[in-house]
Amino acid sequence: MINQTIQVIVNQDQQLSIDTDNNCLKTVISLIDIDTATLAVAVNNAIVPRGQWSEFIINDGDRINVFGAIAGG
Amino acid sequence: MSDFFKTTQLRVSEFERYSRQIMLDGWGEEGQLRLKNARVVIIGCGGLGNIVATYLVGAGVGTISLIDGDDVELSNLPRQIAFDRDSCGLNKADELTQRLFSQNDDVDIHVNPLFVDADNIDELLEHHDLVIDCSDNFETRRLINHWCVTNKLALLSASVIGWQGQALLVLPNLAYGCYQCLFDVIGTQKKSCQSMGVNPAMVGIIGSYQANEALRFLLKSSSKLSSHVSLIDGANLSINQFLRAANPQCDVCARIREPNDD
Repeated sequence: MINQTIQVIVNQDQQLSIDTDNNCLKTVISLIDIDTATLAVAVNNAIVPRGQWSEFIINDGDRINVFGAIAGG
Repeated sequence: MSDFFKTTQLRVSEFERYSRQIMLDGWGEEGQLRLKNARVVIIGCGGLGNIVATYLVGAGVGTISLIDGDDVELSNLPRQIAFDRDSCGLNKADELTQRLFSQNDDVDIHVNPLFVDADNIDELLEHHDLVIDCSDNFETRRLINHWCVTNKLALLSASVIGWQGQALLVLPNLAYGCYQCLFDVIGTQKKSCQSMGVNPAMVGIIGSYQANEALRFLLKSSSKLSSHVSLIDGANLSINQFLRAANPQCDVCARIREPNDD
């Protein structure tokens, strides 16, 4: 059986291919080279709380934004 | 503030001083009186605090408390515009207060030349209408968020490093969660200006953004920051806004929110 893939956009300009049988948000984030501490994630402009990353399913064409907290004042 | 103590009329000199803002839609005499009767506390008198305090004092916010235990350093001067060479070695809250008094002596400024901590936070933050976080470290940001959630006080948080800025407004109803809901794992990383560098002009942009939102909150005008987090990028001149969500597992606010808020 051949896995199907979907395409998502990360932080506006990075395209990522994901297997449809492994497309929860937590897995997708693990594919992105970023420190997950202090990280917030938005899918289609809405924040997904960290506790929901495992259940949140990513669909073809979704726009994912990941960003970290900054503290400077 | 009890209605008994509220000012209900502006003086002639105040009409003249604030005329260009009173004429705005959503401001007017009523809005100016709201500002005059408002009490805000600004935590951190560095880059953001300089800008926010300057605009709020200029706009006629009646009572402003300044908190910072830090001293001015030479490396602060490019972006902390209320200070000059003679300020170096002197306390930031004290120095900023001197500047603000000369700008508008109608405003009641309370100066607190110390760092906020778990022991003094009750005394420093209570009796205000809005808490404005201009601090420079995660530990303080978490402490302030926890206090505001627990004491049901609005928190306007902003931060800046490099060419980036962030801002959000946490309302006491916690409908869109708190700072910790958004950044729930705050480690020991030091993403501060000292460790990462900062463009001085970005401090001006984010500070002005924060001051604008503070004024809108005090004027009881709508603010997208109450439901969104703003990410401001000075390198490509973009502002992205993301709808926030309360985190059901948030260890700060989940137990405080009403069960049907999730």
